[in-house]
Amino acid sequence: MKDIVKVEGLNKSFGDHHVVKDLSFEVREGEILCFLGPNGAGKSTTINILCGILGYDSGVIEYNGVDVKQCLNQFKQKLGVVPQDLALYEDLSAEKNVNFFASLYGLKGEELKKRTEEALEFVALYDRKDDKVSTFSGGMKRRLNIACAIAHKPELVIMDEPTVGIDPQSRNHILSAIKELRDEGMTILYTTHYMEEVEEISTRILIMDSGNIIAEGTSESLKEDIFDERQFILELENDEKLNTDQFYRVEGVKKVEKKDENLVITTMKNVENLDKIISVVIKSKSKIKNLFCRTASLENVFLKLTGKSLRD
Amino acid sequence: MLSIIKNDWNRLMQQKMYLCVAVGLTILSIAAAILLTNKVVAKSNLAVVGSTDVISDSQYFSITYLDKAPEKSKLVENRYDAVIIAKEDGSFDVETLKSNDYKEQLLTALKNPEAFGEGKQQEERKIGTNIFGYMMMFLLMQGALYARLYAEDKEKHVAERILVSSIPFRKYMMGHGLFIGALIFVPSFGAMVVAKLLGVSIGFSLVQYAILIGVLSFLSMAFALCVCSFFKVSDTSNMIASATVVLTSVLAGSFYSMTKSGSMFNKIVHVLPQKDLLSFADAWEKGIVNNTKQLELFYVILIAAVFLVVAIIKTRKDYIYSRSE
Repeated sequence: MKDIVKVEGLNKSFGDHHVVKDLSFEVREGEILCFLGPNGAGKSTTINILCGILGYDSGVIEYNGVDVKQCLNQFKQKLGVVPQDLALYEDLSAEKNVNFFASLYGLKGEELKKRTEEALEFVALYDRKDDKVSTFSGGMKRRLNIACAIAHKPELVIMDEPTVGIDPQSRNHILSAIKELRDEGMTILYTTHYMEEVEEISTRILIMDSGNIIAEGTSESLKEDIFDERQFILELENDEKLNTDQFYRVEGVKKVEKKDENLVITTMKNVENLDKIISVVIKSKSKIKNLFCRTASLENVFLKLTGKSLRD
Repeated sequence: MLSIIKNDWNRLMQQKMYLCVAVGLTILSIAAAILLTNKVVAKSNLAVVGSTDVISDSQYFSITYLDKAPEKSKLVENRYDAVIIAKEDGSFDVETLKSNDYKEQLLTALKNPEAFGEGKQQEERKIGTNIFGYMMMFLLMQGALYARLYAEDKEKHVAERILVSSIPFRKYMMGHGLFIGALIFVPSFGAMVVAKLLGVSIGFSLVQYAILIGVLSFLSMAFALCVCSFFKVSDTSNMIASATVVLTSVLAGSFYSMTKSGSMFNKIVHVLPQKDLLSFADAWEKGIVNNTKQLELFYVILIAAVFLVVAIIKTRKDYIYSRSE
């Protein structure tokens, strides 16, 4: 996959506050690149710089190998932005909204009409095209917000938390639509606070903190790289005679704790020792009612890397 | 740019009441100016004692000849504005409760009635300037009203979305500016055309009106955009712009001149572009445009240009940053 956008050594300060520090990354053609970071990490600043509404102190941003300063208009023409705020005209119909935003990219006449209809169909709002936006639900407005950004068929779509404050049904619809856009060949740069969304749609993840990228990779590779442990959670019966020290004789076991009615055993991920753990339980005449295996989540990865939860 | 204008029109059509009220008020102001000019004249009631040919009835004075001076209470009751007593040596005593300026005016009129009449006519506005003065405040307020569309773009974060698109910033601002200017100019100038076609005396020629209303529309648009560029909430900018327009228009004497020519206050009020534009219109209608009057027109255009430049720079600073600073 070729790099559509390449950022190298990007720096941005607001007064004494160095918000983006020597940032380098690339956005590859056809991927869904998710940007994760706590508030104040610098991801909105980075996105605003990419959108061309914020300047930067130093660094280079290339679009298809050309410095964007040399091709800003072509870059903007190929860019679609879904802002976090609902940037819509509430008094106008859905069709007039999409029509207007698409017309800003030079679309006219039949082409404009066709693209407007396609965008509305894509977000399942074609049946409501003549209705005023003020009559729409929050989820419908979010979908229309996306339609306004994609009607001109951009090469790169930047989505800044496009699912904030909507119902699960609308969220699922939006996530499916994003994957569909990727399948149609668009490249998506996506920021969100919802880990489950990232797990579901991301091709690649960038984790930012304090203006730097601190980790990069797929959801699986990040979990693999960051965590070398897994946990077995055992729900037991008749465990009065069970001596938990016995588990430490099993290879790979690092920690054994009793939490509520469960026994939580932390063990090395790369050691196959579940059969031995079960035999320790059976020998003590205890009965296993349930057994779960817990591996690290993206939330754990984030917490371990940044020392804070995503919503901090 | 056409997209911006078309979109502004679509949005305004959703709020037709605003448009109807604004245009309706402007037309009413023109009608009021036509009806009131030269029809409502406040004549001075004078009592003259001792002579019957001191001064005659005119459009400025209503004379009552008396054998003896009336009691002072008649002045207090406002029965007379002044009592003129003609002395045998040809001089006059003027008794009035009004100001010394008024007394001086009367003495001038008594000494040289023709010169007084000419002076009065030079002082008074003619019908064209009156119409223009009456419509001035409403046209300036219309600017604030239509600039709501631009202010709402900012308030609802639509401006950011528009400006990340490939439309150039200058076209975005020009689109709003042209739309606001045209919406102020076309209905008011149209009303003047209709009045002319109906044979109503409107003072200026249509070309003169086109120039005057054009300059006023430019000023109105630039001022409204300037105010809106400083506020994030459209209601706030609309309120501040409208209040400023009302206050400055009244001070500038768009309905009735509140200042005496030559006074310090009059000089201060000349800072207001409305005052200069009215002063130029007055001179133009009376055919006495000189360099000073031309400078007044130039000043108005300059002020409007400054407002527009400030609006553009402020908006650009808020929304468009160079890619490398």
